[in-house]
Amino acid sequence: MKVDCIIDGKSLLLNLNSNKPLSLILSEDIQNPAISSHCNGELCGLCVVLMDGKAVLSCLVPAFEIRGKSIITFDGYAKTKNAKDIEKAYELMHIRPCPTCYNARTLLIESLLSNNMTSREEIIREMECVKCHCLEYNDMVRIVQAANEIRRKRHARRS
Amino acid sequence: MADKTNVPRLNMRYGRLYTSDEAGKKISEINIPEFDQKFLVMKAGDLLGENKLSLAGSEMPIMADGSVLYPEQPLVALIAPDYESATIAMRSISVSFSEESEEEEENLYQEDYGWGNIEDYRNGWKEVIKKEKTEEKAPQEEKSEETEHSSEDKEESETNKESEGENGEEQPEEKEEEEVIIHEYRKTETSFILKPVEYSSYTFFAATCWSEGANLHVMVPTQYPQFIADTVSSATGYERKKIVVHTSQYHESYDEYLLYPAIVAAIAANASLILKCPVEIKTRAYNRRGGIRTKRITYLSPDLKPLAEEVVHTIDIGAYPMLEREVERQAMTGIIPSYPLQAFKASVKIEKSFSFPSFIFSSMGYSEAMAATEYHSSALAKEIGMSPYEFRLWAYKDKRKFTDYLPAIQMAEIKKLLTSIAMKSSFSRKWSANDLGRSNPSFLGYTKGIGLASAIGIAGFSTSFVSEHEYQAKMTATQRGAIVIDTSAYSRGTAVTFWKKLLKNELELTSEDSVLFSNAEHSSLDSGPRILSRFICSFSKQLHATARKLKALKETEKLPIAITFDVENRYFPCEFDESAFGAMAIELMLPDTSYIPVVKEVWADYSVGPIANSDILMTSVKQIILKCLDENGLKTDKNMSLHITFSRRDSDSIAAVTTLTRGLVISSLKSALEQAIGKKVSLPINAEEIFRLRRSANES
Amino acid sequence: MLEGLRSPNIHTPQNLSEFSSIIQHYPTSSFWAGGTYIMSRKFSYPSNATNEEIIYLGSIEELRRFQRNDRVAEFGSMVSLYELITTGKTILPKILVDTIQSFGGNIATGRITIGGSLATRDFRSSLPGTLNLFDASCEVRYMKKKRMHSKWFSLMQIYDKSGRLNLPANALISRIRINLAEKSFQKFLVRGEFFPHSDNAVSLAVTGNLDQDNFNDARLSLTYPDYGFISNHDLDNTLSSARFPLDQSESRSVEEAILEIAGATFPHLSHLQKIRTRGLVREMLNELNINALTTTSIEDTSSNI
Repeated sequence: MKVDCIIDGKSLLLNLNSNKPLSLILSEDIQNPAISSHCNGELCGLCVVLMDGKAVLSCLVPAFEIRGKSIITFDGYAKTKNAKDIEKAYELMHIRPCPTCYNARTLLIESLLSNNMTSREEIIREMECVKCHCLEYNDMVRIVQAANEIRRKRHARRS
Repeated sequence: MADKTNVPRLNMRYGRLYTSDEAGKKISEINIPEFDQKFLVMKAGDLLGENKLSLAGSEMPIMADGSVLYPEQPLVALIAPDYESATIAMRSISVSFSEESEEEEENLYQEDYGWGNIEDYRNGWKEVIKKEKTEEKAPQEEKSEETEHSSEDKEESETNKESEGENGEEQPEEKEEEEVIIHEYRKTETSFILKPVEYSSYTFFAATCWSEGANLHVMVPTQYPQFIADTVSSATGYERKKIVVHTSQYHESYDEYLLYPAIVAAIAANASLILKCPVEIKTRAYNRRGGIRTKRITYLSPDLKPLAEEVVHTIDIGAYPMLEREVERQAMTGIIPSYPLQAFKASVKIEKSFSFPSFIFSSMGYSEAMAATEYHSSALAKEIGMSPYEFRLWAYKDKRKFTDYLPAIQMAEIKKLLTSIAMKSSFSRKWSANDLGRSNPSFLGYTKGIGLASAIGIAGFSTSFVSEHEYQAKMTATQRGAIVIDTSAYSRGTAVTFWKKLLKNELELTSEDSVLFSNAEHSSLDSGPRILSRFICSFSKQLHATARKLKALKETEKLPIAITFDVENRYFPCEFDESAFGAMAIELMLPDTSYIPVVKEVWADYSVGPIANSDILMTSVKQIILKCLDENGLKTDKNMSLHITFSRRDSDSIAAVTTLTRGLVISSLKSALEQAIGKKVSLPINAEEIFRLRRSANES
Repeated sequence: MLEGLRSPNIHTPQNLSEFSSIIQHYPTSSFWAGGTYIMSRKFSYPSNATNEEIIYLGSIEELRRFQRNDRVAEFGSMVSLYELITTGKTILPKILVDTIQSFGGNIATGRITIGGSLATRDFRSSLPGTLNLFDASCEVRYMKKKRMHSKWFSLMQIYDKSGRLNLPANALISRIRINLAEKSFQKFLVRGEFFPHSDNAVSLAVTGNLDQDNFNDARLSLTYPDYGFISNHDLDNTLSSARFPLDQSESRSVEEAILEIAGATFPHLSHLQKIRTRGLVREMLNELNINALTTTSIEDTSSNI
């Protein structure tokens, strides 16, 4: 089926199998370097993308659902100012996720910040979706709260 | 940094690998349905070159030929116009096996090391009692008096009696009856078992091959580009110089990008040459650590000092022995305890099994062997009636014994770290309290455990390995004032930044940007596999020495000047040198309802040499601890804290704590789990296993 | 020759009448709600076995509604669990929110629909068990004589005794209704992972009114993901017949009674599941004991004043 969508700001018309998972579309059809996981139902949480601003696991999104949607992968997100906030938070906290889960965690943090979910409980519940054991819970919370603070200050300066 | 080469995608074909779940069996038939011309089916016999890959002198087949010797061994490669067709077509392939393979799991190799005579302790000590005919004293009373003496006294008395015996020969007229009593030394025996651990990444990696002019390009994530080039060359028969390896982005959690990518790249390269178009094969990265068993007996003196020890350490290396001598040396280094012994005998046995070749899994055997030793120390402490902390302070002397594997290292640093960890974690108090708490678990609804370990870290390959295999790099001072390091191994990592800084200072350069690391070119020197941080340690020393030479030459010679140097220090008096000291305590809780152990807190102190980047080091240590806990079946508490501190000490070695940390985690975790469960455990563990152990503990 | 992979046809009805006409034309269609279960199966893609007609339910307006009054709340089956707890957080029973939050973060609950979590054939989430404590009922739409019919069933009726989904082919759960009677004691507990290691997991949900030493209107359910859930009068009676706080022997007899019912309903429970069930029951009884003691002591104090 023909699927029109916007991926990382580029309008695309793709000819795809209607039930092909977005994670495979990104890695096989678009060769997006940010997505290399397709856990085949193990819910590894490493294939997070932003679909219309909301974090989703791309392995659970079929091709027919992305029609007319805007997808942002880490590749596109990394160039934004929002990404810099999170990068600064990593630097400030002297801790960062491992390269395996870096992309997924960063996009999840973005989703937390944009939804104003900064309580410890919410952060932990959300970050647990990524099945990578490279960060301790306290560090996850500290990073998100620091990123939130950085973003708040940036917005305050701008306004 | 990944290589930014543009891969030509026009006419590209895509492949999947068929692997069998069964291993150790002879293939009787591979049933492949008839596919149309768009498909290419490849078996071992279809490879253009040799069906083998070789690493440091060891060889193994790329594809299964005749029999399947490990479950992940590719039997068939199927190349199709797209991944979907390849995947579906792959599902129609089936393999039938005729019988068990003729090859059997076997004991492959054994190395012994030791000092003193262990037989003296195995057989016990002899006591010769002289009896005069007119003797009135009951022999039993005499014996009980004797057993109160210390062992040294007994040895003295034994020698005295022997000399008396000699004297006796000179004076045969004096006749006395002699009774020889054999006393057995008190023994402490532990069995340390690590079950096999498998790692299959969630992420796929792609091996992409294409031809461009006379060159064959290979793009693959790899920890060892030269190995990829060699393997592709031998598997395709393509000229080695015309193979260009591009490294794509990867993160090695468990060294999964060392061996498996070479297998996939070799198959993809063959397919690309047969089809004359670019070919990409995607699969998950895989690695495995074989099972490890350590049996250790310590002979104690009557005052409970360790006198002698014998160890049998068995390593399952998988279907093909790769670097088994090095694995043995690393393991032997870990097996030797830090407390003094009069006699020691260790055997490292390497066994084969029908499983993936497992010679490196974040460690080449040192971590696990060291964990076994540390675990034994804690068990020994319990036997003696001391806390593991007190025992270590009591048993460690000022200097470790000089052995072929490690020099005579000062133990003061370790003792300092131990004390610091014990204070921070309130180890002694918790250790006693947990033992009491375990006696009534139903009252609290949980039991707790705390474990302690301390050890010396090692880095790099052994001196023997380095003298057997020449891995080199080249430093060139160009006419434009740049310093180019030609090595196959380095393209990324914080170590590069550190080395740039080191060379800038040493060669008095204006900027760190003048130092360039050239890698992965077909002309570059083979610098060996980029395995963990072990390489970093000695490479810095070599860079330092070469930079000094270059500086001297620059004053007398014309530019450009190039110096080829070893990447490993081959002048150690022992197989290894210390790279760091560390101590760790882990506290965990075992709830009665879930049977899932939860780690509450981890304390780790390290004493290290220069730190390249403290943030990165801290992050990597945290990641190793957390991944190692997860690998062994542990969950972490939502409020868990990792308390990690690094102290600097005067040393040339860059901080390399990977293998040290793994060993400390495994050891302290096992001790803590056993305290919480009240039974011996083998790692990794799960809720079912704990439930079974707990039930048997309650029954007993 | 390998048959090429076919791309399934996707139908996206905008309302229920469109849905009816599509289902009449394509009676063997698969229904696609959130897709979490379908997409997470091992060989879900690529697969030749994929049904060629898929009806995507996400665009049907009627299935996305959420209504409430003082006594009941009613939600369309395509309401996601995330929407349920965000829009209904203040009115929904706490235990229902806890149950949904045990599924994971928003990234998971945002895609799981309430209808999908009830209508998965070979896997039980802990949601049906909790919903049943609130006398949940479902509106089921099904084809009969080429016409679409709808009927309300209690939740227990759509599952058989072994916990399997018992709906006719092409039947669609369109709405779910629960009672909103607030109860003073609510607890949701879970041990083990419902996904992906479901074989040893168990969850317990309990509600009731603790009035002095009585636990009135007690409702209890136990869920075993590979088998189903237990929620019946026998199970409820084990709690409603007890007088709190329980002493050790009384607690033990309640534990035994609950375990006996669980064992009789699902004879193949693993040892660990049984021991975890015992642990959960013990934890629940402890909480009830604490609550009972606290209430009593407050009353004692007030009477003294």
